[in-house]
Amino acid sequence: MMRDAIRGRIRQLRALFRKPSVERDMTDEFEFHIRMQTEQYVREGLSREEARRRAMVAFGGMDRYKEGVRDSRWTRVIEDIASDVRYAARGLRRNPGFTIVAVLTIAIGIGATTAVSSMLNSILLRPLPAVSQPERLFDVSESRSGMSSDMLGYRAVEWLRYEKYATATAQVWSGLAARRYVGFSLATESGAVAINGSLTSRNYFDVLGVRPALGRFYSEGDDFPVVLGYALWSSRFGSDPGVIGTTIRLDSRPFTVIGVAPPDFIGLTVGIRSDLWAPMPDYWAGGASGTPDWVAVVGRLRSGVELPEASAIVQAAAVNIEPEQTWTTVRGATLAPVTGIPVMARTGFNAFLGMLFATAALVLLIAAGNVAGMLLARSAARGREIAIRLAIGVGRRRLVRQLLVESTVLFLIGGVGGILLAFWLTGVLTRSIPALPATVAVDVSPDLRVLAAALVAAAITGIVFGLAPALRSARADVMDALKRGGGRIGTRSRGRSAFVAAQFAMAVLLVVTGGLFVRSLRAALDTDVGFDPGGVVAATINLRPHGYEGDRIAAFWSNLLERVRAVPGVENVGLADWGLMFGPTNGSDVQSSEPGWTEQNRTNARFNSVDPGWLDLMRVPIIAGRAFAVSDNESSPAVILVNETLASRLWPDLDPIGRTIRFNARDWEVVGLTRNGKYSTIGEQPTAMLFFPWAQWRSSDATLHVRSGLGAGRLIEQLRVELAAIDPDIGLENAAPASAMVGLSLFPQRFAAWLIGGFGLAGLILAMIGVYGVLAFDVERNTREFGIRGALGARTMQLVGAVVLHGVLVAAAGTAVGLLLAAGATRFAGTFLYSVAPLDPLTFGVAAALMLAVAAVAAIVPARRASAIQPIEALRTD
Amino acid sequence: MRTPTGQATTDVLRGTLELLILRTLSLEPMHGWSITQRIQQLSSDALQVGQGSLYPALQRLEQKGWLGSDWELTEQNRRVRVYRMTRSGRAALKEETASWRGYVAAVESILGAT
Repeated sequence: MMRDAIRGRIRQLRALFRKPSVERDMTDEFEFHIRMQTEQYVREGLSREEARRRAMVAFGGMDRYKEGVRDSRWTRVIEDIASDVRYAARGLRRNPGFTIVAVLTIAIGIGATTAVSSMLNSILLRPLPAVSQPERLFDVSESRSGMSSDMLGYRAVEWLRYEKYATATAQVWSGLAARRYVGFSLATESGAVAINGSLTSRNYFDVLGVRPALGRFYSEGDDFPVVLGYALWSSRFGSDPGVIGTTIRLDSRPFTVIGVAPPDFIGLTVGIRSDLWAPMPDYWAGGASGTPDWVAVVGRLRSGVELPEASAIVQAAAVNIEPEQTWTTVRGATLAPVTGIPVMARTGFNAFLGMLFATAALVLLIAAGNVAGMLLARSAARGREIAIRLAIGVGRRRLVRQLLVESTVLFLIGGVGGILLAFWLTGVLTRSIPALPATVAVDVSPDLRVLAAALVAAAITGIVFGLAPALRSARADVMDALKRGGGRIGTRSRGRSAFVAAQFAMAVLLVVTGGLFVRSLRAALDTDVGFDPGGVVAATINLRPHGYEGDRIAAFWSNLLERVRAVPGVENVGLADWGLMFGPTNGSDVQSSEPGWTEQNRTNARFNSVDPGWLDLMRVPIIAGRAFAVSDNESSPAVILVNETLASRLWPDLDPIGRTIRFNARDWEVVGLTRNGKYSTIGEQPTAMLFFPWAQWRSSDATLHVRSGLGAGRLIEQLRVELAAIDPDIGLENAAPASAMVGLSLFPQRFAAWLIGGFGLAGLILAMIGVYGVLAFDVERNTREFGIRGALGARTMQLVGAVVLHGVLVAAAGTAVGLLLAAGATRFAGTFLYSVAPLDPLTFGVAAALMLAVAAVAAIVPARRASAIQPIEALRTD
Repeated sequence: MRTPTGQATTDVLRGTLELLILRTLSLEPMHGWSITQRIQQLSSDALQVGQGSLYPALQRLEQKGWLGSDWELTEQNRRVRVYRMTRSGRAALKEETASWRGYVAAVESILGAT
C-alpha cells in the first residue's frame, strides 16, 4: 500500500523532468474527453459543429483545468519556484545597474558578518578539535596574595605544588596534568634552532585524550621521550615516518622521538603553537639546572563527578597544601572550563569578539536595509507590470512569493560575493598578526559550517527584507496603478525617509565606534614608550637548560658580548634580563629601607636587570642622578635605578637619589631616576619599575640587544654564527627587530582600528547609497511636480535646495538618534580604547559632520536631475 | 446546471467525488470521460461531474497511490489514458464507503429526529 503511494509520487517527480511530454499528455487527455462528449451530443441529435461547440463550452477553458491538474501535483511548488527563479534571473539581468549595486551592498554586509563569524567559529566554537570531550576539562586557577605568576594568561603553580594537588584531589580527576610553554634549542648540522614547545606531565596526552598521528605518546619506561608537532615534523623532518625511534639533540641532551601529534593539535591555547612536547621530570633529570618550573594545571573530571563537588574539593586542597614560598598565602583555587582562550584573557576576549560581531551585524543590517529600499523603489517603478500581472489573474500570494524569490536570489548572489569577501578579509587578518614570541598558528578562514550559515543568513535576510516591499507591491490597487501609469504603487516617501534615517542612526553608531578605535590607534602610535627601538634587534638566549652555572654564566655573557661588539657594522650592544615589550610579568612588593619609612610605603614594582650598554643603546632618558657604569660590579656597593612612578609612590615629592630600598636581604641605593616607559604593553597603566645592574643581578637567560647599521636579517644571521661558535647547542630565541615588539603590543589597537574603522567606512558608504536611493526615487516619482515648478519659474537653485534639504534633514534626524545610541553603546568599547574617552567629543563631532556632508553629497545628483527636468518631459511621463 | 437535454442535475459534492470515482473504477478500468458518463448513468442522471474537478481529482488519487493509469490506443489509434484501481485504492474505497455510510446515517438520524 505504501508502495503504491510512493510510486505515485515518484511518477510525478519524474514528470517534473519531462514536463513537455506531461503537458502533451494532458492536452491529449482533454482532447479525447471533448471528442467523446462531442460524439455523445451528435448521438443526441445535434449537428457536429454544434456538438463540438457545446462540448467545448461544457468543458470550459482547457487551460484552467490544466492549471487545476497542475495544482493537484505535489511537485507544483518546485515547478513554480523554479519558474520564479528563472523569472527573477531574467529581471535582474535586464537591470544590471540595480543588480550590481544591490549585490555589492549585500556582499559587504554578508562579507563582514561572515568574516567575524568565521573568527568566532574558529576561536570560540571549535578551538580544540583534537581534544576529546573538552567540556570535561578544567583549568585549576589559583589565586595568591603577595605575588602571582602568570603564564600566557594562565595562573601558574610550582611543579611540586601540582604534584601535591594531584594527590590531594585524586578523587575528582580521572587525570590531572601540567604544562608550560618553553623554548627549546634543537641542534642541527648548521647550529641550533630555537623551537617553541611545551614541557608537560607524563599523563598530559592521556588526560587530553589526543591520539597520535604517528607512533605513540609517553608511556612508562620511556627515557627522555619527545613528541613532535605535526608542523615541525613536516617542515624539519620531511614528514618522514622513519623519524620514530631516532635520537635528536635538544637543549644539549639526547631525546628519543616516540611520536608525532595530529595536525589539529597545537596545544591548549588557540593560535599558540607548540612544536614539540617533552615530559617535565625527564627534562629536569637530564641535567638542566634549577628546580622544576611553574606550570599551568589542567584536569579531566572523573565520570560521575560534577563541577560544584569538584570545585569544593579543589578549593579545600588549595588552602590546605602548604605553599612552596612561605611568604605567600593561597586564597583559593577555582575551576575554569578549558576553552582554548586563557582564563585571564577570556572576559576581555569574549567582549571584544562580541563587539566585533555587533558591528558586523550593523553593517549587514544597513546593507539589507539599503537593498530593501532599492527593491521597494524598483517594485514601484515596475508598478504597471505588477498591476498587469494582477489584472490577468496572477494571485497576490503568487506575486508576493515571486517577489520574495527575487529578493532571495539577489541576497544569495550577494551572499556568495560576501563569502569571497570573507575569505579575503580573514586572509588579510591572519597575515596581519605580527610575529609573537610564540609560534602563532590560527586559521580563521571560514569552514563549511560558516559558509552554510552565511548562505542561510543571506537567504533569511533576503526573505525578511524582501517581505515588506513584496507585500506593498502586491497590495497595489490595480485600477489606480494602470490609470496613473505605475508611479505610485504603495510607496509613501515618508516611510522610506524614516527607513533611511534609521540607517543613518546605525551608520553613525558604526562611524563613531570606528572613529574611536582609529583615534585610539593614533594615540597609541604617538605614545612615548620611554626608549627608542629604532634600528635595534633583540634576541633571547636561555642558558639554564644547557647546564650553565656560576662563573660559566658570567663568562658566557662577556664572551658573547665581546664577539658581537666585534662584528663589523655593530654600533652598540646591551644585555637585559627582560626584553622590552615582553617585559617582566613578575613583580614584588618593595619598600623604602630608611628609618621611619617602613611598612606604610610599600608598592608593587617590576624588575629588570640591565647592563650600562643597554641603557645607552635603548636611549633610556635619565632624569636625575646617573646611569649604570662599568664600575658597578659584583664587588661595588649595590645600586639601582627607579622610574618616576616608583619614586613618587615610595617618596612622594622627595628627591629619590641616594635613598635605599631593602630587597633580597640587601640595601640598594638609588643612583638614578629614569623617565616612565611602557614595559609590557602600550596600553598598560603607569608601572613602577626598578632596574638592577646586570653585574649585580645576573640571570641565566637574557635578551641581547644590538643596534647596528646592518639589516635585521643579516644581523640575526651573524648573531647565530657568533652564538654557534661559543656553543652550537644553544638557539637564538625570538630574534626580531625591537620595533616589531612594539608593533606587536600595538596589534590589538591596530586590529580594532582597521576592522572596526573599516566597518565604519562601509556603514558610511552604505548610508550614502541609502540617502541617494530615497532622493533619486523621490525625484523620479515627482517628475511632474518638479517639471511644473520649473515651468512656473522656480530657480534651479531652489529646486536643488529643496532636494538637498530633504536629504540633509533625513540624515540629521538619523544622525541625532545615532549619536544618542552611540553615547549609550560606546561605553562597552571603553575597556579596549587607549587614552580616548568613550564619549570623545571630537570623534562624535566629526562623525556627525561627516554624516551630514555625506548626505549632502549624495543629494546632489538627484537634485541636479530634479532641476534639469523639462516641463514637457514632466507632462509626458504620465 | 442543465444538460443539453434539459434535465436538472446536481453537482457532485466536493468531498464525495473521490469516493464516486473509486467506486466507478472498482468495476473496471476506464478513461476520464467514461467515468463521468458512468457516474451520471449510475445516479440515473441525478449527478453531474464537472470536468474541472474530475481531472484534478484523478491526479490527487493517483498521487495518493489509489489509482494507476496507463496509456492505451483506441480502435481509431488515438492515445487514451485509462485509469485503474490499485490495491490500496481498493482498501481505501472500503474505508471511505464505511465512513460515508456512517456519516449519512448520522445525518439521517438527526434529520429524522425532528
